[in-house]
Amino acid sequence: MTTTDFITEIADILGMPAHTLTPETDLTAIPAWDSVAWLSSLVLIDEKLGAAVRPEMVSGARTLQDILQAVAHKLES
Amino acid sequence: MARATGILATNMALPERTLTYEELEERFGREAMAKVFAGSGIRNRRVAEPDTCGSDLAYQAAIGLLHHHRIDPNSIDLLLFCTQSPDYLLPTTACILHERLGLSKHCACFDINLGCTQYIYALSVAHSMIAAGVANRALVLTGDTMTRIVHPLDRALVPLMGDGASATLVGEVPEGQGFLAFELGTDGSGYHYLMLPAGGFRMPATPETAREVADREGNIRSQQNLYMNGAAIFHFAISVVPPTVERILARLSLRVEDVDLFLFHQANKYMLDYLLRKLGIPPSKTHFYIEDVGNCSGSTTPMVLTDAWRAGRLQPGNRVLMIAFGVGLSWAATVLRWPENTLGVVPAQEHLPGPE
Repeated sequence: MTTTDFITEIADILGMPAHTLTPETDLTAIPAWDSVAWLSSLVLIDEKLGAAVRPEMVSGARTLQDILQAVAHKLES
Repeated sequence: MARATGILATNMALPERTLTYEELEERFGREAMAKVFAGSGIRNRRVAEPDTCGSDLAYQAAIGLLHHHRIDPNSIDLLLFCTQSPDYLLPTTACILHERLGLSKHCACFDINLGCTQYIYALSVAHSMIAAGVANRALVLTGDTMTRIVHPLDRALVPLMGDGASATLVGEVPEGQGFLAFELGTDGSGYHYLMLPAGGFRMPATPETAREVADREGNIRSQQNLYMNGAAIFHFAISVVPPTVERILARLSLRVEDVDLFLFHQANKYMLDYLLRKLGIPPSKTHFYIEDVGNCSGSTTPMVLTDAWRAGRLQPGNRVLMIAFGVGLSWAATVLRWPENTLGVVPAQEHLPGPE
């Protein structure tokens, strides 16, 4: 999975067009970025990337970049 | 040689009152509840009256089981009551139930308090004590009223939690049947992810601990209310459950295909659907009992077992895997071969009388 694919998946979780999300996007400003979105993101990371991340890396993320950094080692360059 | 033990009968008890999806739409809004339902699969939940304790519900389940199967209370020599909402901090509520059920003075009684995993832990204790000859016939009861410690304006927990109880008779079964293995585990580093902070000896209840605070999602609670870090618990479950299932099956040289029925702690349907996917378990090999009763904490496992049994899904010879996970953090799994000598599941009753 590439970074672009991952961002598209996150956009899908948030119900937003993929092109509206960038690494710099402030997730905390998006109403849909709530506990339900956190769980969906944890499933995405676990199922599609097989990555073990601390849950607070998702629930405590301020920007999309925070999450990308946590899973960078599992994304195709 | 250690005796083989297994489940001989079960029953469950639910409060009469239902806190409905529509009521919670009024309280939290339609959009919020639609999200909750999509994320949890819980529509309605049973809620005990303020004067009803988990032990009252457990008593109903137990007396129903004893009466239905015409079991002499004097034949029970071990009573385990699983609860995290005891009648009192002291004495152990199992002793109070001992008196209410008219059990023999030769019966050992004690509580096991481990929330979501307490049922399987208790089964392992009952199995061990019977196998070792310390007891012959055990009554394993569960009963909690967790809704009483959830803040009414905590949108994260009110829609999820329900109250309920169960009764299970455990006894000797033919060799090679009953409990085949147990897998128990703990990760105490996560104890703070699911807890009732105040009211114990570490942090006694005070006016300060009763102060209500809103979290960043607007959920209201005090330190005298149940707290759960949903993301952390979810992550814990999806990390621990698959290897535990694989480990217990490997110990018995079994594969997923060899198990007839998988019964999970009914925490959250979205989580359970993902676990099924991750383990390669077809949905036809599991059973759900959550949509109209909620997450009943330590009673969900025996309740889903009882509902599955009532639905005819448990037949002699079936291999069944039960797994639970949660507070502590802890987890527990068991694999059983459904025995030939069960007394049977107690049929559903539509209405249960209140406390005596």
